[in-house]
Amino acid sequence: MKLSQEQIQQIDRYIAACGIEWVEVRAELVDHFANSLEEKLAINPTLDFMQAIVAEHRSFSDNGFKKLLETKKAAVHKQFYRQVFINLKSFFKLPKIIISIAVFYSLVLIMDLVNNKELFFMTLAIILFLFVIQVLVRTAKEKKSKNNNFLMLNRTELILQFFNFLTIIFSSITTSRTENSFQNANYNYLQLGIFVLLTLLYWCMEYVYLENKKYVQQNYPQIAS
Amino acid sequence: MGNQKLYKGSLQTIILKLLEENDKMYGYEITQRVKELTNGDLQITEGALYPALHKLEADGLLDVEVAMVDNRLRKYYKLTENGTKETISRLAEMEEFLRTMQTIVNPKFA
Repeated sequence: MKLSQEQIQQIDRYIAACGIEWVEVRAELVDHFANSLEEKLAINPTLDFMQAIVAEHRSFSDNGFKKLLETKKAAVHKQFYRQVFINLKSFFKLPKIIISIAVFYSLVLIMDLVNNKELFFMTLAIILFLFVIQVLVRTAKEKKSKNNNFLMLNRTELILQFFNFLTIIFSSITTSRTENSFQNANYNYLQLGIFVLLTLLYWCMEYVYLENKKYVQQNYPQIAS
Repeated sequence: MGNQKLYKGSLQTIILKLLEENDKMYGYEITQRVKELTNGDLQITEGALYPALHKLEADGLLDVEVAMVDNRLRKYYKLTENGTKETISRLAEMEEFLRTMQTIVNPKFA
């Protein structure tokens, strides 16, 4: 016995009321509840639907949805970092390593043209802060959009916190360096290497975020427009 | 009840094995298939199944496909390339484990 649209919505509202705000988690639970309830209604068509939903929730697990939500959040975090790491690693293998070397070499050429090295590295720190501002603006926009209801897209703040922390460290290194240290080419190359690494990291985080967004739009076209 | 505890540690391997045999499956289908295969001896609780599925997905062993079925969205799980390799390795581990247990529990038949 197939459930009606109204019954599906009833399950959805119940699960949302239990604190499951994320669309992809709720959709999976709704399908699970619906499958089980369809079987029960086939055996007993006079079953009180609301009571059956509550019973289904009770039988789900001892802690209701708590464990499911916790593990799902941890899994999404892990998946995000794994994807970022895989992407970042590809920049140190052929063919993408050519891009990494080209970026580094171009920056070395620019650095050699600039006499004031401190100013040069401060500019790089400002570029990193601009990346942070870009993520901040997007976070504000996302909060207003429907996409914010997807757990896998709600990791923007995570990127922001992580990247902001690294940017602060980079600018702290720049401000703590002495005039003599800016004359040392090896130190400059090292800091330039850190900048390239952070830029690639930012690029990978953005790439993974956009890929996830594409995935959500493809798989949930009715919800994520 | 005791049986359930023994099965608990093998949940991920059970899921991988089922997905190896069936191209793609959804959560409820997995619980029902396990119940059917074990004649009701093993009942996977939803509270244990979904965290295990999500963990396997995060580890890159499962891929997900969403489809609209009967007025609702259904999330199908299927093995990735890594998932297929991992299944072979975990099943081999499981067989080895069972052989070892057999030698301990019933040395005559080992």
